[in-house]
Amino acid sequence: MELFDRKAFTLATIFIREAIYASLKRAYEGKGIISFFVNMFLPSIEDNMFRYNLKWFTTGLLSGILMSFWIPLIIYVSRTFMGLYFITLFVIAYLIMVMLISILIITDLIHQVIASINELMLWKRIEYLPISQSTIEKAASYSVLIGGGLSLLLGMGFAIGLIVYSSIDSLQALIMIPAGFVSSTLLVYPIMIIVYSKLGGRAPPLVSLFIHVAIVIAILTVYLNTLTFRSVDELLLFLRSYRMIYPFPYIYATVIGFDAVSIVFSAAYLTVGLALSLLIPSKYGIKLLSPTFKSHGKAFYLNFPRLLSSAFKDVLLLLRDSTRQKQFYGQLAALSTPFVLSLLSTQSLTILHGLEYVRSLVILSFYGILAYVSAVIVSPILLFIESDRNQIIYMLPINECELAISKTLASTMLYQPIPVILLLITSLTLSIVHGIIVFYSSNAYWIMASYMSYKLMLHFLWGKQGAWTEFSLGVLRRIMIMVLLLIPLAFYLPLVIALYTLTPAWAPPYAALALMIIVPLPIMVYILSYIFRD
Amino acid sequence: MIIFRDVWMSYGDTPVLKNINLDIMPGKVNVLLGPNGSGKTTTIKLILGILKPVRGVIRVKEYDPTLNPVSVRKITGYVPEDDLVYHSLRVKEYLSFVARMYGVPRNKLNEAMERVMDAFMIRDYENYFIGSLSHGLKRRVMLAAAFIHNPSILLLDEPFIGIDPRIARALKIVLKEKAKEGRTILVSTHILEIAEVIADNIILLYNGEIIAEGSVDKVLAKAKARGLEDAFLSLTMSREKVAEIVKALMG
Repeated sequence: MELFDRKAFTLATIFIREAIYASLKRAYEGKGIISFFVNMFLPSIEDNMFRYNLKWFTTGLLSGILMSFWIPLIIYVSRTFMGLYFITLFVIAYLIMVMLISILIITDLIHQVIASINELMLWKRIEYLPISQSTIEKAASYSVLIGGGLSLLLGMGFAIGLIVYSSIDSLQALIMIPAGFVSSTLLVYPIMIIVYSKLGGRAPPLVSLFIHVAIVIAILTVYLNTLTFRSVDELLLFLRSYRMIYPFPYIYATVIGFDAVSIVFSAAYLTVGLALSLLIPSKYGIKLLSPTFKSHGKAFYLNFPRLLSSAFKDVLLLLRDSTRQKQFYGQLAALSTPFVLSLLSTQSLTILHGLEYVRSLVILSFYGILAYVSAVIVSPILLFIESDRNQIIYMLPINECELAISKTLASTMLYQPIPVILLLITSLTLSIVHGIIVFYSSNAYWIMASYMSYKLMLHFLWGKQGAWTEFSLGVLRRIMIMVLLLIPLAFYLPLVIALYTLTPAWAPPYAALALMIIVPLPIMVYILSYIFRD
Repeated sequence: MIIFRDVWMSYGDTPVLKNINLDIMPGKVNVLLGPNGSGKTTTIKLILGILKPVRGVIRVKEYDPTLNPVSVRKITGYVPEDDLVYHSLRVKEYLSFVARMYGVPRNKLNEAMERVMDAFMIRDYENYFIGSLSHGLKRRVMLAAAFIHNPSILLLDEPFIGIDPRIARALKIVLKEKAKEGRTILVSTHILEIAEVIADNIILLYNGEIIAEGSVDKVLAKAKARGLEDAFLSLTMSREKVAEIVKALMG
């Protein structure tokens, strides 16, 4: 068996360049300091694979800094009164979380690259050339690896390693954290290739759903467990016992120091990951299938008010594109499952039953915040599903704002399984009023966040001749949009929590609840009014 | 009526249209001719407000497409050159979506859809996914979508490519009839035989400039040619160049 297929690799670089070209059509051409900065992060059609990956690396560096700049601040502020216990616990918990999250990021990036290749049907452009199907499929596998994911995580690892090094003076962090991030990519990548080679790019979403949910449950279980240790000794014992399992050898070596076991297992994960990442794509290619459209069945008749018809069109597009469907429901399940499960746990139900009535309603209205965060992360998929068909939107009499509304309506329809499940569970376990509060707040905050997210993204994408894909926005802009949308929460949430916990004299007990209900109301009413407008 | 005054357009540093002055009158079939890359599709996209000119003024009826593209698109039916359709929608779904976006009243939607599906002979395919249709059938779906709201302006970019002679003949007649009704028609095509038959007014673009404009006879007279093909070649390429290409292709 050939270890490395050079022809397929060359083809993979062409796939990536084509995807960038289809998304951008032309290079970013601005001049000046801002343009120089933007150029460092935004892919360009003039990039070779090295420069393209370098941009992902710098984006990873910046994302890593954004994710962890507050660590030294917290340590500095709190070390006088919290001591070694808190700092060790804090760093270990943080590292476990980011390393497991890196798995989630790489899984999602792999979905994204495969979705882009599929949507743009890049292989169709070369299928008449004398290139075998297996080479094309292997090329798709390679393009996943050089598509930026590995470089992004490497950059993130370096940035976080640097910050951890400066925070706790651990020189090992500079090697072990990037190594941990790289091995998560190298371990996830071959698994994903096998999954996609068996199931094809348009396979049912169950596998990815399972992977996402499993990862999140693992993250929460491990993460929450690390927070419940009663002493540093107990935590160290835990780390020592599990330092054979990813990601603990990297964390152990970073926080405690190198020992034979952590070195052997860190190296083993890297070596095995590297070997599998070389071997698997040369054996298995991603199944690239032209979509097969079975023509039995009846067409829907989209005779609804104008923007609702457009929203139903998006619902149909998503439900008929299993790659995007995987992404949408995979991420949604990953974000929501732990919280839905918490509503079924005896512990949380006992706490809720024990609370004052209004206070329990406030707690449940916090599901709105979860919906808000979910919408910020998940809703962009409905824009990317347009891909190069965004040109259809441009020829129709619809403006940017109307498109944002119609996409919000569509994403809200697709989101409904979550609030409905929440409504049913809460109504059965608590009361119908609790159920209504959960249903209302999760929908209202979802609508608010989706609409703002679409407005911000369309600000960058509207009118651009390239396709709307993950490449057209670039990771940095996506992160910027997410940060912009999450900043208001940083002010809003403490206010609600303060009202809830402090209940000042000037505010009645239900003020927190009223605030949670009223804030998203204007946008929600505005958007929903379009259901009836023709 | 569509008016271009001193319109310039470029992609980056590459000029695509240079100082275009043009009156596209209603009641006539206006045909846009020109070699590849001469700026035909760009001209159509400027009319729709999909692209914005670097300089100059464009008016579509009373609207400026740069400032008010939505109003222009409401009264326009457009068939793009590429297969721009959602492959995972069924024909009826796509047409009903497009019709509703154009504002076809809900109580008249069925009637409008039946009219265009019958006209372009796609009724048998209404439940088919567009992705499963042949290229020609996809073009017919796109034509149906452009006609569904009975627009007062029709912009058709290479509408005759890929469609069979029955539909092509019907389309030629329809364009003539629509022009007689006072609608504004602009067709871009490379098929000179068709242009010769349908055109009331020819606009010949070359290297981003209008090098000939007027009735077929006027263009033929300018080029001192007997047919449109000869006129096209003599205005856009030397005979020696044609001979060179033939020689190269023959190997």
